[in-house]
Amino acid sequence: MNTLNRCRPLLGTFVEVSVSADASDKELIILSNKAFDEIERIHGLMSFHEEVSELSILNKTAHIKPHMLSKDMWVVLSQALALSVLTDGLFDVSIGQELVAQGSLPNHLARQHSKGTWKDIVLDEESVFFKKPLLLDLGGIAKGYAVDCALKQLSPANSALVNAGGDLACTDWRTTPVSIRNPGSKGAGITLPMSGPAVATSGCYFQDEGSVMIDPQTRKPVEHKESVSVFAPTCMLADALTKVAYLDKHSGALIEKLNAQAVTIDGQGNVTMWEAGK
Amino acid sequence: MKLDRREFGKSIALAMAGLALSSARLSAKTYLTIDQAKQVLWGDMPMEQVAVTLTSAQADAIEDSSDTNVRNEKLNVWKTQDGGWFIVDQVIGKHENIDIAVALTAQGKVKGLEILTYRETYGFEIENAAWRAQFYGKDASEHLKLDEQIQNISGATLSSRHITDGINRLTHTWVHVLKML
Repeated sequence: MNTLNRCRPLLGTFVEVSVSADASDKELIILSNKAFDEIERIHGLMSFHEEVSELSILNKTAHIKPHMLSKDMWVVLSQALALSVLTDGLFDVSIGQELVAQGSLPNHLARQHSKGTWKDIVLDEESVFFKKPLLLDLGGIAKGYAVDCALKQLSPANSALVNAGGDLACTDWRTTPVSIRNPGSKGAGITLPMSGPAVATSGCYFQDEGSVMIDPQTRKPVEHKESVSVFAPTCMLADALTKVAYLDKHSGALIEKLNAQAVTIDGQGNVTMWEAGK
Repeated sequence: MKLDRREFGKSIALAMAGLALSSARLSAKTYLTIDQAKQVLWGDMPMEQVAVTLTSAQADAIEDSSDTNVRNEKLNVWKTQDGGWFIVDQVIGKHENIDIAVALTAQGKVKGLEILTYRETYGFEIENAAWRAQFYGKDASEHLKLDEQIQNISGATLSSRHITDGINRLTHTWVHVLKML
């Protein structure tokens, strides 16, 4: 068995890809390239920063005429809207307007604030239409989706792992413990067994210029001392549910219903597993 | 006194060992070997190592034009058959040291970058908005700055700044030295 571990700066973080198979280095390089290419492809569709991404195009035009979606964008938007319904808007990708106003995202369109929400997003089987001008930001979900897609590319391997700055999915999750940063110290992480194939973490570590987490209901930035990690069947769901869990301490029942598990790590490094109904 | 690369590496290793003992905070991750990185960045392209030691005038010129510090006068560089370069370098920050392998084309443009080793005192598993290392295809004529060509989102700040500094230093090293070899 041969293993190749790679790390490249992508998506504003370091993306690690690890593959093991009965194959030469050269074959593992070709395989791992597919994972990195897939992450770049998804990023090219879903980046708010890039003015030519599919996301930027639909932000620009979907309130004028329905936008025909790529399969990837459809998957992410349908997951996002399903979560908006389940959380009554606590998860809401229409938060781009606030992030632009706050200066966390660039203002490509120089548009007035529309006060629209996820309820103004109309998704059908192949297209999306906005009832008001909206700025969707997929920062809370697309990175997890990119990790899922990259891991799928590695399916010929015996085992594989993709980690995009803490949004992690792997094939051997039952035997792969993960290390999660302790929000109270700048030092060693806290090692936990994985309770699902994917994990993501939300927390405001070491940020000088304020939180980039917006509560969609109050539309204000939120900051906690603790971090929340969510283990889930997909990294897309883990990524999105960390935002829900971070904003709502009482979302345990919903998280359990979605076959996920939330874990809080507080400033002292204490680990609390969430239980349904609490 | 200026240390050569080996001594420098040794002093770093010692400093880090001390840190690890005192605080157990350090973690190191290793990724590709140098041979694997050559294969990733250049495939089967033949290349030969070239012994390059910067003169102090060259180091000064690189520092002035790239606005970064040259810490190692001895370069770890290989020239490919088609005139490109494979470079192994170390990016040193306050909180982490990253060994990188960079491929430059015969025109001095960045063709690719791989992390070889990442040693951190604290790291990068931080939530941040979409950002991308946008230096592929850049050269020394486009001095990379955070906030401009490279979007600097909190969390990625430390490491991305040091990586962009490293890229700037190497593209200017190409302009002042490698281009002529």
